[in-house]
Amino acid sequence: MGANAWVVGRDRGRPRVRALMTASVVVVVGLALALLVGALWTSRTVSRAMRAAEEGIWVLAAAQEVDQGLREFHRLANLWVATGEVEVEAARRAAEDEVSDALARLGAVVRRPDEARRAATLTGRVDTYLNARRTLEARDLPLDQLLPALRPALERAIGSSTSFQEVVRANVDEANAAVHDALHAQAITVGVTAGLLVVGLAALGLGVSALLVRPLVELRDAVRRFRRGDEDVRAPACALREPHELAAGIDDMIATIGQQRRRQLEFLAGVAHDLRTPLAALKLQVQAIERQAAPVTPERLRLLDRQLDRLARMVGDLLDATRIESGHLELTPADVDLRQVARAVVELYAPTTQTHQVTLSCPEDAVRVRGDGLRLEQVVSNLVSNAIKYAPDGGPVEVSVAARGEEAEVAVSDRGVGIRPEDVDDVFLPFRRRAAAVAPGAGLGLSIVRRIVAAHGGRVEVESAPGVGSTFRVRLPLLRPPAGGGPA
Amino acid sequence: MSEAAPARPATVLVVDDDDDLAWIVCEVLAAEGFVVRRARDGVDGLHLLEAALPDVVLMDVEMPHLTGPELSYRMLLHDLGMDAVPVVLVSGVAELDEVARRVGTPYHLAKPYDLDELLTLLRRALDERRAPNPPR
Repeated sequence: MGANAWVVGRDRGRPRVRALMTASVVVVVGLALALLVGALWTSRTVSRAMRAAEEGIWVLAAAQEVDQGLREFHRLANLWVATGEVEVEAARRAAEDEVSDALARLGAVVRRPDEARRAATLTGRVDTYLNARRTLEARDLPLDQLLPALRPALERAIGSSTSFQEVVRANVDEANAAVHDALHAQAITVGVTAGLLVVGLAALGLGVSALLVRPLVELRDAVRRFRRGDEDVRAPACALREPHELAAGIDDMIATIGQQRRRQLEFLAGVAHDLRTPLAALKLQVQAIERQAAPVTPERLRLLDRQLDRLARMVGDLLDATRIESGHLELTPADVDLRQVARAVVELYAPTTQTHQVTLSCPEDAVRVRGDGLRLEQVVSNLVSNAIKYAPDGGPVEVSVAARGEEAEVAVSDRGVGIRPEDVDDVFLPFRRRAAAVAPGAGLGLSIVRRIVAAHGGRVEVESAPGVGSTFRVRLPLLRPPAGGGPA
Repeated sequence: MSEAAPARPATVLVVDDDDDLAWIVCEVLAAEGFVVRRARDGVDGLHLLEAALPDVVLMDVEMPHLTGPELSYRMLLHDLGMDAVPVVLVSGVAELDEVARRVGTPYHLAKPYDLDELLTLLRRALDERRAPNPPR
C-alpha cells in the first residue's frame, strides 16, 4: 500500500524511544552523581577547615594556660621569697608544675610549623626565666633586688606568650574564614547540581509528555473518531520512531478497514441486486398462477423449482464464503490425483453450456498432491465457472493439468472479457466483482480459490488481457512417488 | 383491461438477459393481449428495433454487451423513429431512480415488482408515449 511506502520513507531519521530514554537516564543519573560527589567533596573540605579551627582553639587555650600559670607562679614565688611560708611554697611548686604541664599540653596540640617554632621559643624563654629565678634565689637575694634582676627574663617570656597567642588567634580567624568559604562553596555546589537535576527531571517529564503522551492521546482520539464513523481521520505525525510507526500502522489499518467497509457495502448492494432477479421471476409466476393467467404445468413447476434452487445456491455460496473468510477452513488431506479432480469438474460443466467448449488435457502419469479432494474440486470448479461466466460469447475453456519441476499445475484459460492490468491485483480480494454487468454472482469465487490454495501451500497466478481472455494457474507442491523412479 | 383499448394490439419489446424472468414476463404480457418480442441483450435489442419499431421497450439495466442505458442512448442516435419509442426501465440496481434520470425516462420499476404495477406502468407509457429525454 502507499501508506507503507510512506512509513518506510519517513521514519528512518526518527530517534527510537529507547534511545531517548537511555539518553535521559544517563543525563539524570549523571546529574545525581554530580550532586552526590559535590556534596561529599565539599563536606570533606568543610570538616577539614572546621578541624583546623578547632585545633587552633585548643592551642590558644593551652597558650593561655601557660601565660596564666607563669604569672601565677611568678606571684606565688615572690610571695614565698617575701614570707617564706610553707603553704606558699607548696602552692608555688604546684604552680610551677602547672606551667610545665601547660607547656607539655601546648607541645602536644600544636600542629602548624609556624606555631611549633613559636611554641619552642616560648618554652625556651619560660625555661630561661625559671633557670634565672633558681640561680638568683640560690643567692638569697632580697625581693627588691631579685625582681629587677628577673624582670628582663619574665618580660621576654610574657612577650613571647603574647605574640604566640596573637599568631594563634590570627590562625584561628583564618581557619574560621576557611570554614565559612567551604560552607559557601558547598551551598553553591549542592544548589547548582540539585537545580540542574530538577531542571533535567522537569525536561524529561515534559519530553515524555510531548513526545509520548500527547501522540498517544491524539492516536486514541483518532481511533475514537474513526469508531464514531469519521473515515477521513488520519493519525498524527510523531517525532519518535515507534509512535510514528504505530500511527502509520493505524492509518494503514483505518484505510484498509474503510476500503473493506466500502467493498462490503458494494457487495451487499450487488447481492441484493442478484437476488432480486430470481425473486422477480418467482413473484410474477406466482401472481400469474394466482389470477389464472398461466396454467400450472410441470414445466412451470420446474422453473419455479429452478428459481428457488438458484436462490438457495446463492445463499449457500454466501455462507461458505463467510465461513472461509472468517478462517474456518478445515482440510481433510489425502493423496489426490489432480487429473481426476479436473476431469470431474469438466464433466460437470461441459453439458451445461452450448456456447463454450470445455476441454481437458492431462499427462499420462498421475499428478499427485497432498490435499483435500473436495476443496481442490471447488477451486477448479470456481475457476471453470468463472471462465464460462466471463466469456459471455462462448468459446473454448481449456483446463490443463501438468507436473512442472517440483510443482503440480492446473491451468484454466478462457477467451473472455479479460482483466484490465490495473485490476489484476484486486481480483482475489473478497467482494470484488469485475464487470458486474457481464456476470452475476457474489464476487467471492476467486477469494475462496486463493484461500484454499494457500491452505494447501500453493499459489494462484493470473495472466490476462482485456478482450483477449484470462488464464488462471494454480500451483501446488507436487507429491513425488515414494520409490526413486518418479516420472522424468 | 384499460377502457381505452388500442385498436390494434400494442407491441412490447422485452430486453432482459435472464431467460426465466423474460419467459414469464412475455407469457403474462401475451396473456394481457400485447404482441411481445424478446431480446437477450442490448445488441440483440438494437437488431430487433432496426427490424421493426415496437410501441414500448421494457428493458433491464445491467446486461452484457450493451446495458439498458446504453441501448436507450443508441436508440436516440439512430434517428429511425427509435427516438420516439418510450422506454420502461426494470432493474434490481439500488440506484434505479438515478439511472432513470440519466436515461431521461419517467417510467421505471424496481425488481421484484407486482404484475399489476408492471401492467399499469406499461399502459401509462403507451398512453403518454414520453420518449427518453436525457438531461444535457
